[in-house]
Amino acid sequence: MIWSAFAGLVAVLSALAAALGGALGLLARRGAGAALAAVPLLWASFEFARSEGPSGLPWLRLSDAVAEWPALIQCAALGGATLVSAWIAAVNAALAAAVWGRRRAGVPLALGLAAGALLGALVLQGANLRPGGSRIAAVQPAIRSADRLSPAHFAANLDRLLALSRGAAAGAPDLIVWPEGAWLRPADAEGEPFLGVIANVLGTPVLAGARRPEPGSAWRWNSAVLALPGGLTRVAGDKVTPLPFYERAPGGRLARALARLVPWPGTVRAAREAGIVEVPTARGDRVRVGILICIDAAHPALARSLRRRGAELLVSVANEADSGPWSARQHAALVRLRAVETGLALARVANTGPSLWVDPWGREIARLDADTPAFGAATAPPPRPAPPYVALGDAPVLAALFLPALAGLVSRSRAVPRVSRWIDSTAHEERTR
Amino acid sequence: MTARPGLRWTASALAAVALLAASPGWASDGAHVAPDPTTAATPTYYESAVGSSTVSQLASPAPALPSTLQVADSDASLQFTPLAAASDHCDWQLHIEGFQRNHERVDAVYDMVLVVPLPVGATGRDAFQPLQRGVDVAEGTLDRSAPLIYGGERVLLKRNVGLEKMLLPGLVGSSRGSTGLPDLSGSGYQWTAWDTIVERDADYGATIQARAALNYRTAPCVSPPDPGDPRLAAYVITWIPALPAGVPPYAVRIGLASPSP
Repeated sequence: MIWSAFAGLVAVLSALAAALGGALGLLARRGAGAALAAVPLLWASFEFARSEGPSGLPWLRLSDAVAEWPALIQCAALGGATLVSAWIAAVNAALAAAVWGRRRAGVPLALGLAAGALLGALVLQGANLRPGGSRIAAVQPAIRSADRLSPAHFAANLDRLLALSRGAAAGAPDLIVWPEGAWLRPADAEGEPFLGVIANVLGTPVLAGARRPEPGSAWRWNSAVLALPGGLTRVAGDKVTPLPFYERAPGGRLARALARLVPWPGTVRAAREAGIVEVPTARGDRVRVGILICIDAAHPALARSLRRRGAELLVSVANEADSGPWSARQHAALVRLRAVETGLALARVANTGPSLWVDPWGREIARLDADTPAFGAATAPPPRPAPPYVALGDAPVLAALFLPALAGLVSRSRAVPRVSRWIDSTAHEERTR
Repeated sequence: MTARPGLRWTASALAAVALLAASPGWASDGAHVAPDPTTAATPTYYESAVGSSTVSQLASPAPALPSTLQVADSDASLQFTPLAAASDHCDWQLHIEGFQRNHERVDAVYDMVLVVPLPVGATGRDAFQPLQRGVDVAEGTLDRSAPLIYGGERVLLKRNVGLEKMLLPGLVGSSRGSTGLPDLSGSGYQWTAWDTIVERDADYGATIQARAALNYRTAPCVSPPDPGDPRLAAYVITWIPALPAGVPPYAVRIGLASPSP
């Protein structure tokens, strides 16, 4: 069943990619310049549809590929991952133009677009961290997939979590974070009292991934529970974007109908919005922590909504033991984009790692290597002023990409008028010379 | 930055005291009889409960909170002693003497919870203020005592409001004697929980002895607990959270003694 689900997802993704290729092919009939000029628009639209549409698969964006180089992702503060992807697509289209005999147009275009990296470097030069911040400790137990939710391994897993947490607590952090699904005991709407016992003994707030069954049904939420010294616990947030079909419980009318026809594997309810929780700090004040569970961290809109709703710090909890190193590395890279887009520091804590701390400009502060049981702590700097993307989202970027095409259609000229005409005309000049 | 998990979680434990302790014969595992070294091989409460399995083998895939206890009486005593009085407050000491149990022999992580009645206001809020971080646990006698060290750690039981809100209400019932906590309505007192986590220290001796004390402050008008009220007692609850709810946590009841003259 799981493989059927994967096969279905591959088909959906392939269809989207095929649609992108087909659109470029149609445009190429009207001139290679039109096709190349349309690449940023089509690619950004393709990625946006794949991530935010019904397929809900936000992986493998172009922006993710460069996320480990902070100078290359600073434009995410203006237009999010969509703008970064469109920019990279544009650079590559210009390079393609240069390679395919359109040097007069392609080379300056590629150089001009690539200069965006210099601007990113300049932004980083002027980026000053404000003093203060919250010290966040990560517990990375590196528990194997087969052992993670096994009752027989509960005691051994707990022993490891406690040993690491004890070490983390010795550094007097403001918050200790356990990864997604770290806690086997089911939580309810009030949290889970034994987690409260642990936070009480440690004398430090603990944020732990936990499963929260829906009363009276086979479905559950994938949650994070905050436990405070003193023993009180509460649900801090639930996963908003369970993996379609494979993980997500049937919620809509169509999904419920499908679930009656086929053995639907998903049992995870989708929350309406990402959670924010106030955590008391060692300084005596409180910090508002926005929670991103697993692939929620790959959805810019969720992180953006957390900043708009007052989050001062992002915490991303993940597992990675079930999906493997390809997803671990990608998730560890793309969380930097969320930091740049929101202007918030982010701590990512994953079961098998890597776990890392990122500043509001996407620069790595510290890291725990993958596949090693470990704990660590670092200070997450305070927020910087909210970048434009927080207020504007993806709409301006998509509009800016679509407007030339719309203008071209309205004026009955070529689809992407000026740039494509320029590319084609310079290519013609080069051929006739 | 990176520390390896080899660190041993040495939990503290008074509760260790209580919990890890079990005496001969699990059905009467409280310590109302001094432990007999010759019976050290008698199964402890959790050894009997687990049988030939291990905690890991019995672990529940969906463990629920316990709703019953296995309560045993003990010869230990609970006392409330006025320490000092001023115009605007009174200082008190709650102390437990003579607690003794056999050391539990099941490898597991335990939550050891001391449940004691403390004054409550008319609105249901605390009518006391602790004067220390938690309940200090010691071993020895009143004139010669030392902090109880278990698993390499000094045992300190911290107040746990979460357990008071989520665990204790499910254990309280007016008609419950040997399977729960009595209802304290109308007594002027309410149940409070103080706990720690311990992992069994296999090197610890066969018996755990302990005494415990908590100093707290109240308004001057607060009455001492009535020794004639059988509901007012302390309980030391040992809970293995990995076990199914069908295995009730073991609790030792410590009766309220009259104040010393």
